[in-house]
Amino acid sequence: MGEIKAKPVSNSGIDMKATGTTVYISGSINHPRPGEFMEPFIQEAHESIVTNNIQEIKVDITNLKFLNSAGIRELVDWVMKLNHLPEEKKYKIEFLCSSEHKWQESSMSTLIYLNSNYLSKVTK
Amino acid sequence: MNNYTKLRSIECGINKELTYLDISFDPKWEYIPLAKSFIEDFLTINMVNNEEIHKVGTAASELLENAVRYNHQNGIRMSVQNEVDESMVYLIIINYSDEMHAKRLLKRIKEMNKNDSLEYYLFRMRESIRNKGDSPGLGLARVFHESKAKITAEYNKEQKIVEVRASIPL
Repeated sequence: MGEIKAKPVSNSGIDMKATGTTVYISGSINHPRPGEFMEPFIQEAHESIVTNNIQEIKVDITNLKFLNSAGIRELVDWVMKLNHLPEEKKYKIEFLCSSEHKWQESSMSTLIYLNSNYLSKVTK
Repeated sequence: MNNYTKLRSIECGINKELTYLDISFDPKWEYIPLAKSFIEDFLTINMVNNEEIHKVGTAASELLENAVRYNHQNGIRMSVQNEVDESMVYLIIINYSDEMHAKRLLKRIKEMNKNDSLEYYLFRMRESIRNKGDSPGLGLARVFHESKAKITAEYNKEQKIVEVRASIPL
């Protein structure tokens, strides 16, 4: 099974990295333009997933304390990239959430509506 | 009268019989997480539960981001009032804004209030990708849906001051 290759990011109190088929996003995102560092990482991860025909990935945000709406937009952008793929290239994303960070329940539940066939969440 | 004194002198409907917090600061992005944390501590002291604190904290952060992003001159004032009997928290954000941004804000709030909160939030999510060069435009929709807030706004053209009020049920 292939693994996600994307250059790790550590910027403005946020860390993003990929290990195996899991993407980890941690820290607290309240930057005015988080796309400056989130978008290149997500693009690289997305391309790697598609190239390696990975069918299912996890996005672990259990250590993501806060995500502002500009950061949510970057996740929406990821979902739109997924939505625009041909059916045979689409992959499933399972978001791993923490009940400790209350924003995750409401924000991630809404995000999943954008593609409920391919997106899901599990709360620890 | 400097900008701060003007902001402080505005009668923004604070009912001093309620528990309240009233803060003013420079429109610096770095102050937003500090203000959010300060507000969350205020609510903790007033025994609002953790889930509700998150709702108010997120709303405060998003509204302050808008205020800082579109601030026309120095100075942002935010008031938080906790109405225990009505189980409500009121956020009032006052800042300077030019007429163009203020009109856009008022129009967006009017448009938002005509819609179902989830449908509107999903619409704004999709729109935010179509208009990538612009501001995300997601903050208000997030507050409307995730914090279940009723949002209103007024603009004083002469003073160039915009006042946004969010009533958040607990």
